[in-house]
Parts: sequence; structure tokens; C-alpha cells
Amino acid sequence: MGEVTILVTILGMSAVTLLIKMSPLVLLGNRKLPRGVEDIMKHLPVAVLSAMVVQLLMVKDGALNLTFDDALVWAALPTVVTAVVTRNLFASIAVGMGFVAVVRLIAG
Amino acid sequence: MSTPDTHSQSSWWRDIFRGIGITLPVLAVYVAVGMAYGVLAVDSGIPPWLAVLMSAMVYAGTAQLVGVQMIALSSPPLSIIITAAVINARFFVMASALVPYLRHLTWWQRLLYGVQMTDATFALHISRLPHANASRTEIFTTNVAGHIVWIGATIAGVVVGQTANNLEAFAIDFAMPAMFIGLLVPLVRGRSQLLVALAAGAGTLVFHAAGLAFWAILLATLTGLVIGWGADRWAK
Repeated sequence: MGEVTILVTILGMSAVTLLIKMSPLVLLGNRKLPRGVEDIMKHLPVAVLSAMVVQLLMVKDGALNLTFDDALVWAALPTVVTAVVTRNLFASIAVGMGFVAVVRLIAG
Repeated sequence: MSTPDTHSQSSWWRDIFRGIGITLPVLAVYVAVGMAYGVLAVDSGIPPWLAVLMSAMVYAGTAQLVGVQMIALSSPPLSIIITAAVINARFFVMASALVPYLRHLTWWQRLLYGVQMTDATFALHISRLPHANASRTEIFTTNVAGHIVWIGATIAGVVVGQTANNLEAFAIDFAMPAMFIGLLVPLVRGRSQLLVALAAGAGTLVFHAAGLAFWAILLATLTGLVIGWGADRWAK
């Protein structure tokens, strides 16, 4: 793909992404959301983060990978335990990445 | 220097340091993942300056990684742009959820906030803003620091990328999931939120199995919201 085509693609990606991210904040900025909407929205952080985690762990190269043969999937366990016990973001990341590094080192 | 001036200056610095402190774990992950993205981009044959431009102008990890792979396959530009829109559609829902807590900002500050919103900074702010009186300085320190570190890490990645490297050895592919788990777990308080987490997680698998790869995150998120809403009604 030529440099100009890639540039145009990136500008297009940027335009749609910025439009999506900005429009609710600019258009709804001063308005109060209906009670019902706020009641549903309170679950959003948990829902979106959980979906992202599962996608990152169980999807490889665009396809589902349910074989559990990857250190990544197992690393979720010590990471969750650390997060529950410490509630500390740094500790969770460090334990999780440390686990993956050690398993890969042992497995060669 | 007059006394009030000194005072406001010191509180300005205090807010900046607080903002950096809250964001530090996320910044560490951005260094790792931004570098990995930079390496992948040059490996896929994208000119380094364009890889960096994408980090500056798109600033959305998942869409960037998918975009780079589609560019490498010479997919039609329009299909890449539409895919980015679909992958990033979740940000529309997330930005809407932040509206009640950003009402004190002017319209152009909210616009700037939208430009620099990511999954991680959203998670930081949605768990902090309802309970804490965070200043504008602190809020924007988080956003600006994230954006700068992401661009800087990409630059480092495209430089390293030309010498080729095995990033799996450093467990960098677990940096992002570990960060999201660390952000997610403290937000799960009580049974209905546990149910939301399980529903959204299971939904992701189901929608992928159904062949809706690029829609999976958005649809699974909406599934989680509906289940959570239902659970709340049931409990009443």
C-alpha cells in the first residue's frame, strides 16, 4: 500500500474515532440524562472492561482460542487474586506479567 | 510574588502530581503496549512516521493494532475505516456515561477530553470522579500524560522495530489484559456487578463464535448492561 493511501486511511480512522469519542461529550454536555439511562449506565465500566479482558485473553489473530494452552489465560487467575486482595493496579499488573514471564521462562 | 499567586501555583503542581500518580500504572502499560504497536507497525511495512501519526491521531490501541494488520494485507481503506468505527463504537457509550461528571468543563474542554479518552483513562475517571472532587488540572494531567506517553512509546517502538525483537519474551502481550483486570476487579462490588462481568465476558465469546468479531466488544457490553439492569429490577 502506498504512503498516500496509508495516510488517507489513518486520517479516516482518526475522523471516525474522534467523532465517536467527542460527540456525546459535546452534544450532551450540559443536559441531564434520564434516570433510567443513568441506572443502566452505572454498569458500563464493569461490562466494557470484562468484555475487553475476555477478548484479549481468548481471541488470537481474530479467532476464538479456547484451548487454554497459552500462559496468558492462566495468568488471569493470579492477576484477579492479586487485584481482589491488594486492590492495587500496579501490583496486579506486576504479578500478572511476572507470572507470564516466569511460565515462559520455564516452558522455554 | 504575591501570596495568593504562590498558593494557586502550589495547588496547581499538587494536582499535576496527583494526576500523574493516579495514572502511573496505566502509563507503564502504555510504554509496553505502545512500543509493541510500534514494532508491529514497522514490521507490517508501515512507514515509521505514519505509525507515529496513527498513535497521535487515532489513539485507540485495539483499533490501531487491527488497522495496522489490515493495512499490511492491503485491505480497502474504506473497510479499514469502517472497522475502526465499529471497534471504537464502545467509546460513544463510555463518553455518554462520563457526561454527568464533566458538566463543569466548558464545551471545548469536553471536546479535548473526548479526543484523549481511552479505555483505561475512562476506567480511572469513572471510578474516581463520582466520589472525589478532582480538579480540571488533575483530570487533564491524566489525559495529556497518557497521550504523550503513548506517542513516545510508539516512537521508541518504531526505532526498536527496525532491529527486530521478540516482545513475547517480556510478557508484554499480558500488559494490557493485566491492566484491564486490575481496573475491573475493584469496580465489581456486589452480586449484580459480578453478574454483569460474567454476562459481558460470556457475551464476548458468544459473539465471536457467531462470527461477529469486530462487533463483539460492543454487543457484549450492551448484553452486560441489559443483564445488570434486569438484575437490579429483580432485586427490587
